[in-house]
Amino acid sequence: MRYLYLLFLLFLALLPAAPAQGQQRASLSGFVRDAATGETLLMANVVLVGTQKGAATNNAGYYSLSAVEPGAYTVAATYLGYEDARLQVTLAPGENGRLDIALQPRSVEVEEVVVSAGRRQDEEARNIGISQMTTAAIKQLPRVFEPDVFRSLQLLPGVKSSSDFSSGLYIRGGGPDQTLILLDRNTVYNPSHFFGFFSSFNPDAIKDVRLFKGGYPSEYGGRLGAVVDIYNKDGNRNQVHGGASVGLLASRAIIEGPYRKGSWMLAARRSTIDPLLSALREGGTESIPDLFYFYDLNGKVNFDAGRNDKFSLAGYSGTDRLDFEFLEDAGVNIALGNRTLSANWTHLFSPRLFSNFTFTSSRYFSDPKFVFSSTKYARTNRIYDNSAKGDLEFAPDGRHALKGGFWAGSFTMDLEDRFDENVTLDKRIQTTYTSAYVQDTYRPSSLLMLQGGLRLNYFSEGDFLRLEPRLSVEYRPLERTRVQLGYGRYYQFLSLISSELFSAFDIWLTTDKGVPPAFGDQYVAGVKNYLGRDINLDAEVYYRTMRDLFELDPFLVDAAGVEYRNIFRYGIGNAYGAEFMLEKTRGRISGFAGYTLGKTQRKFPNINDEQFYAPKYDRTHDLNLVMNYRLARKWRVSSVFTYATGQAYTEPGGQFRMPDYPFATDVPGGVISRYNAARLPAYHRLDLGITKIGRLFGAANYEFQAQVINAYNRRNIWFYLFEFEDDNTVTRNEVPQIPVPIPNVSLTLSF
Amino acid sequence: MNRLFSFVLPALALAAAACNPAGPEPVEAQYFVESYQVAGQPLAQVRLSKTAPMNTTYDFDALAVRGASVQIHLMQPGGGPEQTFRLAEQPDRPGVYAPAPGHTVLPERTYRLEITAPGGERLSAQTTVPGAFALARVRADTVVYRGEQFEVHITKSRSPGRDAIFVFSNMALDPDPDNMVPFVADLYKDGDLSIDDVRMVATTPLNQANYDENPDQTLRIEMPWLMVYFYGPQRVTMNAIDDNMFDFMRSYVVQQGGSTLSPGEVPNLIDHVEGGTGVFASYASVTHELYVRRDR
Repeated sequence: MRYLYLLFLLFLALLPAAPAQGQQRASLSGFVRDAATGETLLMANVVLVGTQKGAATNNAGYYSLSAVEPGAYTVAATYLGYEDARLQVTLAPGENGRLDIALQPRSVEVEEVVVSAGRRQDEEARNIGISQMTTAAIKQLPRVFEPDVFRSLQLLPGVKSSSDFSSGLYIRGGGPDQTLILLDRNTVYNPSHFFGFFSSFNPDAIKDVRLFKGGYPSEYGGRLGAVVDIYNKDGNRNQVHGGASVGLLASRAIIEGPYRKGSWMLAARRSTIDPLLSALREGGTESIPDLFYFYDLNGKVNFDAGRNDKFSLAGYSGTDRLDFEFLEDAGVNIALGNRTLSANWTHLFSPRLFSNFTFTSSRYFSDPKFVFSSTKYARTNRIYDNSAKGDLEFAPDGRHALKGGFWAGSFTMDLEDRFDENVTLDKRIQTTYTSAYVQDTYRPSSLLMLQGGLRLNYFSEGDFLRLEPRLSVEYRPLERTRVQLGYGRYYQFLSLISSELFSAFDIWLTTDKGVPPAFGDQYVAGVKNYLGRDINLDAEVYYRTMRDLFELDPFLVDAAGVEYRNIFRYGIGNAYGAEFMLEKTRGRISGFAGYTLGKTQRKFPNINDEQFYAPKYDRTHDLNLVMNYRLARKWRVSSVFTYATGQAYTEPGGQFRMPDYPFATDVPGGVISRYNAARLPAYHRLDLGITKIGRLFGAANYEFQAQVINAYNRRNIWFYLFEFEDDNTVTRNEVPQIPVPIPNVSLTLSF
Repeated sequence: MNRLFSFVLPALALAAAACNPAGPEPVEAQYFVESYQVAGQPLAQVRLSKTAPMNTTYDFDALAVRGASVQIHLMQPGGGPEQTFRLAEQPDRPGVYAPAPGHTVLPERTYRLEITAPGGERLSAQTTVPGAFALARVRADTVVYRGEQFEVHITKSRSPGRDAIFVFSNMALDPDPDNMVPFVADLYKDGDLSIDDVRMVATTPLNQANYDENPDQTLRIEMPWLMVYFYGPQRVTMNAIDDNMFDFMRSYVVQQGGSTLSPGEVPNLIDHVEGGTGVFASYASVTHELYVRRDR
């Protein structure tokens, strides 16, 4: 704790950096909102036209401009998907001006938008390692049954999926557990539905999705690789507004509105295939589950206690259920889900000192039960994570922007396995974690920005104290070009034990005595170019190390009586690559092309003679083309084309049989091979969609979407299964990904 | 610029498509050893063969390594050979090398296999036989399916440096399809299984910590119904396995897909054969015959 105290002192020491002449200068601050709904806009850009003064809104939609010379200014505010706003303001000496800005959302019906925002429009959202995706874009993309936040993120450079059936995020060579998933500042531990097929975030309820692919700043921590920061909508502050969407797999509804002191929002989504399953069952179709559904609920209430104090309470609840007797005397029963609750207080100590305090509670449960031949297997897995976090942002002058904060909480994991009614594993991990950070963003000139930060982590299970330095530099050699460099060290105290086939068995394990935290360094460099006419061209290169990786030993067949530290395997890894993103943000044609040239490798005992190997999600080339085209005023077409190098897999190079094997009456066979040294055929897929928007009987707006996934019927391979036949041959069976074109239609009404 | 956007990107896609990496390097054939020594049983034979390419029909006789020099040493507790047994290739069974009768495998002793292949390549492996154990008592010789489970009490087996690791197996002695329990019958009806596939069922390796220890230091073991595939007479065997068998079995399970590895990721066996691969292992076992009656 002594280190945390020192970190706090360091933050305090930085505070007096405000220059004395600040008394004569003015400041300007406020919130930037959506004019139609009153939602705060995150990472919106606010500049004083004709000066170098500019700032982006923070996670609460708040901006602050300090050390402004008194005078009259034009304030320009811009945000992707919104009309630019220009407002006049006059600041007197010493005045702390407050200017809340409302931006008008751009209609999808309008023709070519006149560019007026200039190159700074979305610079913050395009900082090094950061990608931002609007929920509108997520809903427009062709999708398998449901619009999905994570599947949309998988289209970005550097982000990969493991298969068509998984929404898991593999970012810059890291597995899903290397990405911190936050919903309203609250950790979500298993954000998936349908056993991994969809992420559990309903795009209707989501305001903002931001992805830190790497080199993320010191205000975040706890994962080696990346951060997905998601915020629920606050709710419409101007009028009651609702919407409903009917799809083939699930349907959604949202209602939101204002009340005297704030706003509220409630969104629900539930699978709607129950009648279909029921009809199939009654029609005599075999292998139909007796019960299958998933649902999620998102809710948020905002309470504006005053001009400087805002409170919110946000909750999420999601559940998946499956009952399926697939053979005589054999079946599965699964219930899993997440519950989160976040209470948030935003307080302005002064126009230049912003604070945010959050109390979070996150719960994950997974209770799979199997029965085979009257023998029961049951797992009970619980995670409880309760925390408090606070962030302070201080803008002492026009050159420095300070941030500091803490995050402390308790993490409890209960895991019990029962086999044949006997407890075979009973593990309870209870730990506290504490972290604190300071960060200074220093802009000595309009051409240069330096950002340095320190984050200190303490994890009680194992008594680990770790310091993480972070540093980034931005230089603007040309008016439209930014060069950025970043470095950071990252520690991870958790490890996800996951089966790619079935996420219901996912469990999280932690460090402990003898199980040190994994850590790694990230080096990132990037060039961001604004080419004009709403076209951006970004390039980033990265190099990552991963050390002390701890994963459940795949060769562990029985954990009973095994020391905790011995249930893991320990290894190392690295990843490097280059990402390119050509993006057109507005106009009749919009979209992006993302290309990644990358490599990632791992080294673990008993694998590949302890040489580096490529994990399954290593892809040399990864290309995504996403295009939206406004066909006519009310018609829009969209397409997504994906190409990727085939996944690494193990192609057996030899076979053997064991005629004398004592524990089987058939003759078992096995293989010898080079681990993951082969590649599946290249993956490629085209998805197409068409959207018609309009007005239904003057009562509601509608949006009808028709889409086809895998339009040209590509049979991508998921993996091969090798079967030893009785005639002493080996058959290679292809297990395909989405094997046929899949149509999808949906109708969305909003009123 | 729209035109650029429309044409350059497909070209990029084609360029990327042209850059797929080449296939893997071929895997060379390896010597494969198979031998299991059982405490209290005569010294067992050794099979020596070569692994076969994947796209061929496996034929042990064609792959058998003939003319090798094979010997097994009983090692002194301190290190060197105490006794050496030369194994002779069976005239009518190529690649199968058998010792002369006379030696019974000793529990808690180490045996070392040494092979010189016809080309001069040397292979070696070593196993330490688990300690013998015994059946202390059983609850009943006849049980009703899905009724009270078969329960057995055994004395402990000793293995150097660790607790015992068990594998339990159950062999149906009357494996008639009409005798199949419902779960197996449902699997069998699709025609994908043969009787040989299901006549014997065995567990993966299980740690001693799974079992209750009685005051008399014996272990109480209940057999789950999952281990019963047929009604009628069965032979239940409890085996305490050595490290080599344990490593072989736990890695073989992973090859078959039973682990946290992604599908398509197949590691090699964890073997302890120098100069080749395979398994030279040992175990101690006890057996009991049981009758399972149908439930109503």
